[in-house]
Amino acid sequence: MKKISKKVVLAGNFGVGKTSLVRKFVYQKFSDEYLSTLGVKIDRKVLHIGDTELTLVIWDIAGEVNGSKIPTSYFLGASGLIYVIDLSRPSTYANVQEEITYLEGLMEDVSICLIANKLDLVEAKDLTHTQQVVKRTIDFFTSAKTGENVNEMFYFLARKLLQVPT
Amino acid sequence: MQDQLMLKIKDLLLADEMKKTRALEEEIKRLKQELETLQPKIISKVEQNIAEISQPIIETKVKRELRESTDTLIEAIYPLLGKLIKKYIQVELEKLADSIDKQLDRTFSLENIKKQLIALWEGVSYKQIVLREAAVQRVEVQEVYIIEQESGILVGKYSVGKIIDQDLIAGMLTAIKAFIEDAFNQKTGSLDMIEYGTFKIIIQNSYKFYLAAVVAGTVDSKVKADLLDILLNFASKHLAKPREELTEEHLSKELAKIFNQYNEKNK
Ligand SMILES: Nc1nc2c(ncn2[C@@H]2O[C@H](COP(=O)(O)OP(=O)(O)O)[C@@H](O)[C@H]2O)c(=O)[nH]1
Ligand SMILES: [Mg+2]
Repeated sequence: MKKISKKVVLAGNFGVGKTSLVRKFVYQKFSDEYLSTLGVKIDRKVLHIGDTELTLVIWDIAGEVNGSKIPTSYFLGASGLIYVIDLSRPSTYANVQEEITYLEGLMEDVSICLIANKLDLVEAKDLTHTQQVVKRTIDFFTSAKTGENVNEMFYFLARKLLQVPT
Repeated sequence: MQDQLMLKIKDLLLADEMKKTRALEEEIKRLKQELETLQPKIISKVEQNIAEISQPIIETKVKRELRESTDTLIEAIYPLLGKLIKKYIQVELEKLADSIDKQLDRTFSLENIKKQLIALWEGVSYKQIVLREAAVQRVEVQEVYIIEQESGILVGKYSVGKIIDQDLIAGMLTAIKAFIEDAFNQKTGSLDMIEYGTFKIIIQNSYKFYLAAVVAGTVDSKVKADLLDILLNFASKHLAKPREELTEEHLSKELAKIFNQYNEKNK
């Protein structure tokens, strides 16, 4: 069995559900206190994909992409980026493309996953409209509340990281 | 009144001791002066040596290897430079300051004179009392991590106990380090020790990696300097390789060899 560890960062506006998504996916070791003091919280999940044991080290970053409070270095060295928008708040996806481009510039060979969260708050017909506004393809529509698509999304990214067909 | 009494007793009991103390005082004064005049010389000498050593090495190496593998090269040179420049003067001076402080403490404090009196009374030697009271805690390296600088991914580890969350600790440590370095706006070599409760985390930066040793016990500047050296040597010996050649298994095994021995020696 091959063992690999990868860093994955979550980014997106305040309140879109980043912390909730992680909470749904992993059993949490550190308390949320770290988030407010350090501006980041780190969790880990071990996945078995094919003959590989993949450790995802997940950096849940609190703060806006261009915000001054968090060190840019939090984003460095990441292999995966999960960019989260909130379906119920259009302001959270007004600048998706620019923000992702900016983040992409900080990381080398990063696999990107665009997530539209809070699926439980909107109706199906709204989704196509959101997709039109956001020019980039939304990879998953999730709900951290109901858990819909949360595991799927993380596994999707994991397979991308290992370059296993998704 | 009490002071005078104290002095009298001191004169009676410690006449010899006072002579020695005075001599020591003179010696320290002399050393300090000597050091002050030597300091610029030491610095220029070190600078000269660095220039002499590194120029031919860098020149020939750069020409030969730069195109092949930049990272490997930098990984090899970085510890060399770090060793010579970054720590040398600072650590050496700290060591000296430490030993002078200790001498002064030992000879001049009222507390120590009291100890000598007690020693006389109880019939034990002064040295035994000092030893009894010093309660210097044994230094033990409890954990060592080799961590990728940017990602915080753990690439090698050593632990005396059983700790399961080393991936998380490596990540948190990396975040804390980034946070502090960002706050002080110092990117290289700024942070070499974090104190965390009774533990000290000693940090040695390499180029693509950093090494962190979690140490319990009394870490004075000598212990710290020694550990920084050990970590630096480890980096130049084992980390100056292409990333694909670094396996966690191998690195952890090498760490275990070194730190089991280190801990054994300090028992
Ligand atoms: N209804 C609903 N609420 C959510 C969902 N995800 C997060 N929330 C709520 O949105 C708020 C912000 O979530 P949080 O995870 O702290 O966002 P973060 O700032 O991106 O980490 C919290 O009150 C969550 O309970 C979701 O999928 N559905
Ligand atoms: Mg959050």
